[in-house]
Parts: sequence; structure tokens; C-alpha cells
Amino acid sequence: MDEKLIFPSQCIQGTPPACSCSCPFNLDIKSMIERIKSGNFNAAYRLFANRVVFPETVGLLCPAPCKTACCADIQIGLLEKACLDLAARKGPIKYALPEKDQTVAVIGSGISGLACARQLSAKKYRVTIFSQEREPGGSLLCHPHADLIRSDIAEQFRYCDYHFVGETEIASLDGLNFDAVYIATGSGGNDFGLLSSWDPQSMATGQTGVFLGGSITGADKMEALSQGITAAANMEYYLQTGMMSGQPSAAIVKESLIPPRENADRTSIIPGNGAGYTEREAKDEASRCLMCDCTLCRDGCEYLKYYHVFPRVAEEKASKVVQRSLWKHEGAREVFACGACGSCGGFCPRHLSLEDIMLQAKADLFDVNGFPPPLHEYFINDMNNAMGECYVAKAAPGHQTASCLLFPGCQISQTAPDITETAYAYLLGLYPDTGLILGCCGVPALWAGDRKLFHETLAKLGSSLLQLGSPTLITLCSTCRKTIDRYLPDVKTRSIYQVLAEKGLPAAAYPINGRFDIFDPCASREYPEDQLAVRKIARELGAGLGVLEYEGEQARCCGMGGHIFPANKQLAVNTVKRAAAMSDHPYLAYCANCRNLFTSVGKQCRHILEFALGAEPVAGMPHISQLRENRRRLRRKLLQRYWGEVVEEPMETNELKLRISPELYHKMNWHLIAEEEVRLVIQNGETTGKKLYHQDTGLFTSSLKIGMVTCWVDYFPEDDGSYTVANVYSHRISFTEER
Amino acid sequence: MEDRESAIICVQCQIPLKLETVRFAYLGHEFTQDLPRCPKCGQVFISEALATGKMAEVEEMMEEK
Repeated sequence: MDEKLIFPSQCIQGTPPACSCSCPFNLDIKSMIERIKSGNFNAAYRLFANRVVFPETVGLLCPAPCKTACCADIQIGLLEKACLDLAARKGPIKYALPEKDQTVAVIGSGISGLACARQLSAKKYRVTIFSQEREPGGSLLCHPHADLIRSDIAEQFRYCDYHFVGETEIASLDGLNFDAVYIATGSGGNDFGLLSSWDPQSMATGQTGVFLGGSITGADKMEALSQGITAAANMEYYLQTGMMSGQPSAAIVKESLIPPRENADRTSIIPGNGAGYTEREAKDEASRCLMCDCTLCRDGCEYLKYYHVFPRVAEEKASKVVQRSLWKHEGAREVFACGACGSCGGFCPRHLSLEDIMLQAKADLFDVNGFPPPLHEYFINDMNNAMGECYVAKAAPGHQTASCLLFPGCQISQTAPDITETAYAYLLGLYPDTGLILGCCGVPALWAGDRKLFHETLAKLGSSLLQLGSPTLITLCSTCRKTIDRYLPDVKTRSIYQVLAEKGLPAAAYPINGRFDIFDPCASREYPEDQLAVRKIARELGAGLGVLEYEGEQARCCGMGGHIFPANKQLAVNTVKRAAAMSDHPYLAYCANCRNLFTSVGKQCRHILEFALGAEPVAGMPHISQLRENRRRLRRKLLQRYWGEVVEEPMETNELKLRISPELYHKMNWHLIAEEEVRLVIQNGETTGKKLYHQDTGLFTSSLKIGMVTCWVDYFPEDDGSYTVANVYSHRISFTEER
Repeated sequence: MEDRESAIICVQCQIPLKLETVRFAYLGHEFTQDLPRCPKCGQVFISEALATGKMAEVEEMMEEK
């Protein structure tokens, strides 16, 4: 096991449930039940017999505490009996192992001593049982079904050689010349002065090579048997390594870490004959098992569900992908399909999260070129646009520095520029020296694994903030706030939601009519105060609020986190659809990405700041060309309005006029193709003459490689000089026209 | 695709496209495929069915290689 992995040692998924922990043997009851469910009684019997050593005896004597522990009242005792009744192959296994030279003495021939002797003799150690009785079996031979017990013991020892020394009392260990000794002298028996140093986990005593267990420790019959099995495992470990500590895996776990299921159906199947199950009845009862485990992370996360993994496996896979990434990229897509949103940590009772693990894996893959660049090209370009030509960092008009600064983030500025405008006006009203940065927190680069670009972006932001007198950043986006808090820890941040909740809403705010449900963005998990503030604002505006299955500290990703879309489109769709289906009511979002993604799948969703700031409502899902244009226009508008800077609009006189249907815009969004890219393709075709003509449809086709993507456009010219775009598609593989 | 191919004209050269071998490259891998192209200037046509079907599959495969 890789020692750097976090989940194997800390995650409770896969640890024994309540039934197994109540079992004196820690029997893997779920696996036994799985086998019964599929009608494989031989395999179920084998699992049971291997664990308890004397299956008929245990079937007869075990009081089945597992039944009481089970939340669904599964008749586990009757299922064990069904294994004994219905298995066709029950003989013990004959192991082809070489004889060993090491010798073992077992003092006492009760059930505990016999279990130890059986296990070690099956492994071919030289075992001698010392007993005061004439035959092995101890007090069990007084049981009314002693014959059954006797034959079970004989059967399980069928392939085991051991030496039985009866009618002999061992008074001292001094004369015993054995490599290891197990003391199982029964209730009130001789402990040779070692009971006080006995370790109930490992069965070891303070004397090297000597182990102890059974009724002498106060154990009941089943515990005594189990202790004999544990002792055998640890005695073998001692014989192999000389260590008395025992193997941790051999210790009996008594407390389950798995949260119990609530409101389980407790209607057991009663055997028709009143005594034992038929095959059908056993299968039906086994089918009632809920297979208790901790699955909270996977229940909440579409990524884990899609890849059929728990975080333990996802972590291990990511680690292997990184290790072999120097020579192959297999599995890289799966790493980049995880949004690294950290929702799993919110669902986990131990708050274990894949977020940092996956971010690290992405960065490691990026560093060794194990990262397929097309997966993040669109988002990195968008970030570079926000931090490049559209970047603005200003103190308030008439000020050199700022005490606070609006940092709306790159997404809201392009989705709903009016929200940024109204937010800035509102803040200036409260704090006249409010500065402004239009830019990006760098998270697209973090999600792409490009740490260099990420830190360059942060450095640019940090330098602007320093020049502006280190103001408190007021954010509109939880992800921006989280990113700045984590990676620029000296910067103070606050959300606009807190400001609005505390200082009151502007006069322009308008009411929210009807019932809405608040969809908390994934990063808001870190800011419960923001989640409360948003609810306070919504109520103040008159919204009727419901409660979603996943919200607050269990807020889940909308599907945009990590920019997973190009890595696994279907997963992104599954994620947004499931998040949208949590309620039939419209959502109130406070993240532009959540708002956009929900809208794109037809879920009614409004940004709360539209209402709270009295901003223009955003209609539908803007297509990506509009998003870019919105950002440029916002920059021009704000620079002109507050700082009197005139930014010339790009010359549009020669720009081709395109006619694009709403359906095609939708498709272009889906494929991350912007209108300006379509325009470039047509322009290229028209100016160079490099285009194709389809005689059957009358359409022209032109293509152009833009970045890593080759974009194809089917179009035809209209009489007014515009072009109707009939279809757009793209691919990443490039081709050459040279022969 | 084959149906459209006979009816596709290279506007620049005013001649129909013909099936020819085209060289492709992606993430350091190279391969060839027969596709309609202009016999004179070499202009290539890739249909949507090919781009979103087989090519997309190959892209994903190479991104995993």
C-alpha cells in the first residue's frame, strides 16, 4: 500500500457493519449473504466454515447476536443453518502444504484449544494437545447433541495430524519444550500466572511464545472458540517473525463504524416448516439484506457513481495514473473528470475529501505532459481573456487606494454584467473608496493542473491588490472567495451577501414572488455565514424557501466545478440533471455557473443578485459569444462611466453578419464554439476562396484550425450580404493538405 | 458521407473531390485515412458524422494513450 494514500487508513467504507461486529468471529456476513442470494450455498458454507472452524458446532450453539444487531432483522442464524442444510460440498479442505518443524503445545482440549490446534495443524505445524480428559471436546461433550459436536470435531480434523496426550495435567510450563504454547485450560483452569499479562486483542501473554484464551478469560463458548482462532493466527505470526504483537487483521473488531440504516423494513421471512429455510426462502431472506456500508460520498457524487468507485479506489487509481503518466496517459481523462469540488468531504462523516488529492493528481499529470490539453483549452482561453484584454484594476474615482474592492469574478461579469454594475454602484454608496478588479481568480488554471499559470494569475491579482493598498475583497462568487482564501491567505475577503444582509438592500431591489429553493454552490460549503446571508436576503425579498436534499454543508456541485465537461460530457450532464431534479421548484443560485448550467438544461434558475441589487433579469442561457461580448462591453462601460476612459469599440463595419438559429446556438454552446469562431471560418473561406460546394444542398463548407480545434461551418450567402449558418461542428485531430 | 462526396466541388479549383489518402496528427501520433479531397489543391472534406463519430473516438483514445 502506498503510504501517501489517505483513504485506505481513514475511510470507513468497506469496514465491518454492525452484524459482523456483533459476531464473535467477525464473520463476513454480507459476503455470505451475497452468496446465498445467488443460490451458491456451497460458497456460502465455505466462507462460514473457514471462519468459524467448527461449523456444525457453531450452528448449534451460537446465540446469533448478529440478528439483534441487524437493522433489518435478517435471520442470519437461520441463513447459516440453511448453508449447513443446503450445501452439497461440506468436507474440509486438504491443504497441500509442506510439514513444518516447529512445535506447538495446546494445553486444554475444550473448544478454544481445539480451534487453535485445528488451525495450526492444518498449516502443518506439529501440534500436541495436553488434556486432563480422555478425549478432546471438554465441556461440549456434556451437550445433549454431543454426537453432532463430536463428529464435527472429527470431520474438521480429518486432514490434520496432531498428537493427543490425555489424562495429563500440566502443572508448569518449565518442562514444556515447544516453540509456542496456547493455554486454554477452561473456566477456573491453571493460567500459569499469565492471565494478568494477557492481551485480549492478540491473545499473547507476557511470556514470549505463550498465548492464552478461552473460558479461562471469562469468555463464553463462541468467544472461546474465536479466541482459539485468533490465537492460532497470531501464534503462526510469532513462529514466522518472532513477534508477539499479533497481526492487526486477526483482532476481533467489536464496534462498527458504519452508520446504522434508519427505518429499514424489519419483516423477516418465517420458515414454512417452522425449523429451517428452503432454498427459496433462504434466497428471499438474503435478498432483504441492505448490505450496510458507508456510501454517503457515492450517494451524493455523480463522479463516484459514474466510475463505480469509492474515493479509496479513485485515490489509488489517480496515484497509479500519475505514476505511469510518463509513458502513457491511460486514466488521465478519469482524473480530469473529477470536479475536485470537495463535495465528498461534505458528505463524509469523517470529512475525507478527494479535492486536494485530485488537484494534486491533475497538477502532476500536467507537469509530465500527461494531460490532454484540449480538455481545458476553452476555459484557459476564457481566463486569459479575463486576465488579459479585459482586465481592470482600479481604485475608486478620485482615490489612490481602496479599503474594500469589488471582485465580481469572471463568470458573473459575462453572464450578467448588470449585476456587476449594480453591485459596484451599491458598494460605492456604502464605501466611497471601493476599488474594482475585473478579472479571474485563476481557478480554471488550478482545475487544469497548470500551477504555473495559476500562480502567475494569483501574482497579477496580488500585485494589483498591493498597489491598491491591500483592500478587503468583496466577492460575488464562492469559488473566487475560496480560491483567494486558500492561495492568497493574506488577502481579507468578504462576500457581497454578507454585506447586503448586514447593511440592507438597495432601494432598487425587487421582490421574489413565489416559492424558490436555494441551490448552494459547492464552494459555499466553506462559508456557512454566506449561506445564511443568502437565505436572509431571499426571505427579506419575500421568497418562500424550501429545503433541498443536498444543501448547506452538503452542498453539491452543479456540474461545472473542475470544468469536467470536455473530459466527460455525459458525467457533466448527469450531474446537472440530478442537481436540477432535487426539486420541482425554481432555484435561486448565487453562482453564475450554477445559474447558467441549470438554465441550459431547462431548469428555471435565477441569480439572487438580480433581485437583491435590482439588476436586469438575465434571460435564458447566453451563448458563449454573447458571454465574451458582455465582458468586453462591461469593461468599456465601467471605465467610461467611473474613470472617464474611452475605450474604442472594435470596428464592426467589415464584420460578416451571420444568421444563426437558436437551436444552432445551443449546439455551439454544447461544443464550446463561439460565434466569432464561426465568423472567422466563413471569413477565411470567403476571402481565400478555400471552400467546398455541395451540389445536392447548395451549401458551402469551410474549415479553419483555431487553437487545437478545427471548426467546420456549412453556410450559404443571403442576398443582403449576410450568411446563414446551417451547421457547425468541430474536431481536435488535425490534418494536413500536403501530399 | 459517400453520397455527398460525389457532389462536393472544390470552389477554388472547380473540380469534384475524390477519395485520397489524408495524413492526420494528434498529440504526437500520426496516421492516415482515405477521405474526399481536391485532386488539385488538396482541400479536404470531413463530414460531421466522421468528426463526431469515429474521429471523436480516436481523439479520446489518443488522449488516453
